[in-house]
Amino acid sequence: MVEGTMPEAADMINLGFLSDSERELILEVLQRDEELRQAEEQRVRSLKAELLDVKRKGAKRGSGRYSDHSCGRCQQPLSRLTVFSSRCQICNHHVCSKCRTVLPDRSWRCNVCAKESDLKKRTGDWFYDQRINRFSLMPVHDLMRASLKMKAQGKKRETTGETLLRSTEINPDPPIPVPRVRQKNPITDNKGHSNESSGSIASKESFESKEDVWSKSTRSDSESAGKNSITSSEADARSGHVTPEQQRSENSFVPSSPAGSTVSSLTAPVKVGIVSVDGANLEANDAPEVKPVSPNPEIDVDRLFKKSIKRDPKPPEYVSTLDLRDVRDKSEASMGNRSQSVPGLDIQEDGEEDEDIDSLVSFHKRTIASSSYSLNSSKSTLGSLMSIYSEAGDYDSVEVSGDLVFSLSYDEHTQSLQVLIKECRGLAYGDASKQLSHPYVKCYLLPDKSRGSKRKTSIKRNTVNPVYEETLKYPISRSQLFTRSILISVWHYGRFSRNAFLGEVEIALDTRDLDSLYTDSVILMGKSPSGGPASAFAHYKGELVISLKYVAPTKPKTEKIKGKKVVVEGRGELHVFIKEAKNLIAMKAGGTSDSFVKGYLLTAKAKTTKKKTPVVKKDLNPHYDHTFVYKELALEQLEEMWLELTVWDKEGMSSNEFLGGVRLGSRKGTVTGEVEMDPAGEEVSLWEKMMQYPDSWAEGTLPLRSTMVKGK
Amino acid sequence: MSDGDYDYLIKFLALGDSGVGKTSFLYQYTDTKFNSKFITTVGIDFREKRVVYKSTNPDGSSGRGQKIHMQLWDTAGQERFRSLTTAFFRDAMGFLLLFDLTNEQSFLNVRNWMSQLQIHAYCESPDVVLCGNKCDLSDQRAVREDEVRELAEKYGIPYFETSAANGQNVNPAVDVLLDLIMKRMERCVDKSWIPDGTVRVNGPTNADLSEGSDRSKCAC
Repeated sequence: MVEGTMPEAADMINLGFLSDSERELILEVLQRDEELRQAEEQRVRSLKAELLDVKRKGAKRGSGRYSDHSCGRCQQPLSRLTVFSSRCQICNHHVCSKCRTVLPDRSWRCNVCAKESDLKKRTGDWFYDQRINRFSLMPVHDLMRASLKMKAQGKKRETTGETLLRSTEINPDPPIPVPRVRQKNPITDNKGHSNESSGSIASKESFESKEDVWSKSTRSDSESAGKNSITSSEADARSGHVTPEQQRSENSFVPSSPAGSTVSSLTAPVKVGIVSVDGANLEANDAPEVKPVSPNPEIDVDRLFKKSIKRDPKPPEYVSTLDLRDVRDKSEASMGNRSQSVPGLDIQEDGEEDEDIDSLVSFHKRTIASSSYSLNSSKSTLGSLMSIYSEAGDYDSVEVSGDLVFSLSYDEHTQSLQVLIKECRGLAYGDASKQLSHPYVKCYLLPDKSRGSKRKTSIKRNTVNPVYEETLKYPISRSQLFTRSILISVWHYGRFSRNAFLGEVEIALDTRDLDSLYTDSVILMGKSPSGGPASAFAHYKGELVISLKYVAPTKPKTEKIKGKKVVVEGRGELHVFIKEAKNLIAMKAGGTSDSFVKGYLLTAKAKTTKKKTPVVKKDLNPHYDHTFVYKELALEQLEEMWLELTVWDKEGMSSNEFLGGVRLGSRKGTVTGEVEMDPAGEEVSLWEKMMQYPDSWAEGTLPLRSTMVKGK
Repeated sequence: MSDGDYDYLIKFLALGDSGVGKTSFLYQYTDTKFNSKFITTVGIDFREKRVVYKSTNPDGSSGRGQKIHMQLWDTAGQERFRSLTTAFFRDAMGFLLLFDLTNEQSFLNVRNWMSQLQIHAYCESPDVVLCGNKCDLSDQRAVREDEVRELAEKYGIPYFETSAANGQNVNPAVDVLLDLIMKRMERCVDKSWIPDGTVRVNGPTNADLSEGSDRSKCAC
């Protein structure tokens, strides 16, 4: 590695001057720091989950339109007098007095804003938000760019200690002996520890002088063993997307990695048996290397700490790095992903339905045709997705009339949401010419619009006042309900003709009392913007964290073409680093999603082939750490281009579910004359920042659009 | 010690020349003990302590106590560890800059340490408390108090004459630093409020380009 090209000081710390015992001692400190950081991360995570809960209960979001005369949090009506004094200074929502938090200086904020700012303090985000401006993400230097071995970007909270610790862990002969990996007998591990090398004997002496250090380190052994099962099962989930191809490319990156660890990452990495074999292997392989047998120990040390420059895998946040083997697996997995960034290697899953942009495009046409859609309402969003994924828009419309009588409750015993459809009154005729209706009721637990979420009642024949008294059940944990809403629609069953839509209601569950079993009678609505009280939360789809960089063309070079010297103008590249998504909507049972990100680079005339990240399973805050590279681009071209990134829940059997998207670009326009491009806010500024500063990363956290149809 | 039962994790870092008493200072603070034997710190180390912080309101009343978990980083003063120790500056929220009242050179080096902080800390003007240590050794004193006060005023940082040996001013110095951090935190959070303020675009990573945004961010 050429040091001069790396601008980041921490990565260049040359620790070759340290003696073995000093290194041991420092690693010991870093391990203690790691423990503290683990606890802290756990705390931060639960704090953020709390905020999410509060947020979900808060009704209005910045993106929606609401009456000024209702509370922005609980949506209770506000008296006209108080409207003037009820605006939260931060989010500008009018808020009733119950939804306020009074600060010590007697000013107040709404509950959500207060919680957010409190959280910013408690999580240390106030600090990391500043720190990231100085020690943010490391630009990938030329050498790496050439090989496309993208360096993982440092995460906001990554500390120097973590970086150092990690860099030592990757080393095939870690200075901290392997025994920590083994789960069974920490006591013998410690013995092995001190016998293993002269280095660790020295270190033992030195930390005997510090009692607390010693006791801490013994404790950590048993702790890490205890944690193992949890962390490694997480590892299992994450490594699930490692395909054999990736494995192969990993191997080429890790020639020095002992066979044992590679094998274990190929198979299920969790099995205890394998773990201990793995550890033993490592030990056996490493034993001769622990003492400075190598002719030039300096090189070893150099490699030890500089490894991070080359490989620097971003460890998954929640994995105990005490478990060295796990981390190694993971680091390889993420290397694998990165190698996949080479466009040619982009895996195209077979059989996946290509519903995304294309269907959005076709839907968009439909939307334009039907002028009754208000594109600004969340209702149309849900409606739009409905028609894409389940209804296909093939139904008759009639003048909607009548009421639906139902009740909603949560059954703790069976952990399920129960929708009791009692009856409908005064429905419209589904078959107007024959003046008859065969109505049935259909339910979706939004945002899940898949077949799995569909429930139907029986069909009542020839009545506009059907009585059902049928209960539709959704097994779901109570905590998840806050992000959901229930869409109840009534349909006429046309046996020989098309079904007809008789009306629908949508009930947001975040504001609903599910404990008192009261019966609701609501007026059925058409599929129009004035429809039911859509969950305001439906707007919030989470966020996508990405970095963009335009890699300027290399200098024009002369090439020999047919014997003549010709000046070849190099073209630049656009690198799109898909870092992570946050707070995605859960689509699958168990409150998770298996998500991936899909990218299209579009011009006014065409779109490039799609690129996809690997699927990250069972994670609503997935780390993709994947880079899309678009080649042969001149900087000026980017002004006329848009980048669409959409997040999808991978469905094995049916269509993938749309989780949200962003649309980057510097201006509005249309693609192939049909799809309107409407980048806004951060989507524009991030794009512009990227164009403004070639060869440096522009990172941003973008809110996910709930629809890619214009005018979110 | 590191269970998550606290409200804030606050990270401080002690720096200063070798032998000024950083390790002893922190040992006194966390364990109220003193060991006169000099053991040089290898690279880095840290200690932890739980305290309860009570903010004072403008009207003089004190608020609810907040549980603070302090991580106090100790750094080697020796030059040979410099590249390692300065790398840890970025992770600290506040700094205890120590010098030895009986060693004039250690005081003269305070300027160097301040400029090191400007370069390596999380922002250009982090919170620092200056500590003239070993004030119990008054007969060997080599630095005049008014000199130090003048310098501290120039930097706009609090100054304490401390003794890791008898504990004098050790707690007050850390308490003041904690107070500074907690107040900065409030300001940062207040200031960062832009409507729907969850979105942030980070500047380019070139040092020169990000400088401008640094200043604006740090002034909070």
